[in-house]
Amino acid sequence: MSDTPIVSAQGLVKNFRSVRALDGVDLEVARGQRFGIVGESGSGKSTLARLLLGLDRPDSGTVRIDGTLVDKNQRFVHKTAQMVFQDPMSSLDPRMRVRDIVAEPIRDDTNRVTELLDAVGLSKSVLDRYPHQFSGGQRQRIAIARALAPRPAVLVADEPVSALDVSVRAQILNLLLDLTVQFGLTLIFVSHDLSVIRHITDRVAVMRQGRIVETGPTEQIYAAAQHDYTRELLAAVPRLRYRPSRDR
Amino acid sequence: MTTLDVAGLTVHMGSVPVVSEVDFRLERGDRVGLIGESGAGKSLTALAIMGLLPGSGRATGRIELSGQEIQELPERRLARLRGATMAMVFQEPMTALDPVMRVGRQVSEVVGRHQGVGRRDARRIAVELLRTVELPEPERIARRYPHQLSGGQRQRVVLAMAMANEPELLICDEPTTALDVTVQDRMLRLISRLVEERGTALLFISHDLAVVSALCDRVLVMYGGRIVESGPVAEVFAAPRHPYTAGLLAASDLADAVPGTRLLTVPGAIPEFGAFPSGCVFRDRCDRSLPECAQLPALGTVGAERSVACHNPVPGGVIR
Repeated sequence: MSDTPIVSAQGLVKNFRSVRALDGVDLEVARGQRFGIVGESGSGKSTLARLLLGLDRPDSGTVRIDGTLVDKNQRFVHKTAQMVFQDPMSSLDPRMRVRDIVAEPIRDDTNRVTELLDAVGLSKSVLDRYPHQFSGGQRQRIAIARALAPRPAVLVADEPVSALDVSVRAQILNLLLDLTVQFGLTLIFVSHDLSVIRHITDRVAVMRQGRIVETGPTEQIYAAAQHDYTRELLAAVPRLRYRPSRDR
Repeated sequence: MTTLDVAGLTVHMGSVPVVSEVDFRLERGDRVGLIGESGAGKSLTALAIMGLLPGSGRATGRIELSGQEIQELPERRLARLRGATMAMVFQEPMTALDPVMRVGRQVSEVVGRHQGVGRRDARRIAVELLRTVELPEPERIARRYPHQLSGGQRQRVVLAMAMANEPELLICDEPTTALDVTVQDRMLRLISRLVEERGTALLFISHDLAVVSALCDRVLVMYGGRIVESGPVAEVFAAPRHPYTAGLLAASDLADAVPGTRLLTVPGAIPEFGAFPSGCVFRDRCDRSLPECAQLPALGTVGAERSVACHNPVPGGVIR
């Protein structure tokens, strides 16, 4: 059944008090895809990400992961889909050592933890250290290792590189690309950064005011956006005017 | 005419050197980008110029603003220059705005303080300034409190305050980093227009190389509290000589990379302040380092307007 979408949403509506954060969102993410959700602040992209993982409930509409309704089977969802956030400090318990942070979702042995740390480019010398002893990029690596612990099929990353410096951002993007291949992951990547989305995703949904205004293959949308808003967004992206030639 | 001349600027926070022997100069109307990642010392360089270093910070060296040495000036006299001869815009507009004062009054206070005009005139000038920064219905905006404005509108108010007295030097520290991309685009065009019309010298601090390439003529690249490369943006970005500049460009340039492929980048992470290696500050992350890199390289000239501090610079001549 590999042609059923691994993640699908239908008619998602979510209000926060009087504000309509999501206004009827339909979405299908195919297995193995790197799916981008891009939009400006207030577009509803983070709300959508949380609903996809059952971290919040929609006012109406449904989310299915691998065919299973998300709000009916939380345990299944936690095993199948995991999330990484912008600020790893807020998702990592400052009082826990790395070994316990990574092992927590699996209650597993050191070998497995070491294997996960190795996959994200950290050596086992970090096992007994605490989150504050790491740089932002290293903390994001720890958060990714923890997310991978239950062997999820889907990784949802909400602005995972927005707080990072440029050189470290490139390292984490490389890591996410490697991991999607190595573990056959489906990646849902939420960002306001159109350049990052273009680089890392193969399909993209553009959000505005709680709706998806345009969706399609990333390459196609960046080459010939159909919606005015997408064109406006793309035109506003700052471009490097001078660059070294690659063959030097 | 030289607006800003910085020579041998060194900043210590407590006993830790965070900015070391920085030299640069801005002529009237110059637009200079100061780039580098967090911990490079960009913001502390700017704060040292403004005389706004936090608590344990102290600066040595020479800072001349329009011919006047200001590094040694007492705070009372520096305060008179801030907001008049030099002004600064920060990333977060609320650092500059009073949350419980209407924005029109905040702008008119800056005008009144330095221009010696009456309250009514200051208020009229303030509304004009809000119009200059392209805020819609400036009379209405003037009556609002900061929290009633969007992030982009607040940053425009801050820019109006910064430009109120037509400063000779405008320092912007990541002024658009917190803004949405469409809002950022309009803000950058506005800054560009205002400094051009007034001949203001602009020191623009950013981690975003694309923004700097669009806005600035010259660039200073900082790492570990030192300027490691400088020159015209077109030349430095087209043919970087310092390995750090080259790595930063490669890591930034997502548009030039093949989607879905690994990006070239600088390995490792930026050390904490005070934990940079001796000798060349970049040598522990550098794939071109040599034994002589244990000795600090001087910032030497390469070509007419370029300098680089490196014992083994990236090959490639100056591209015209």
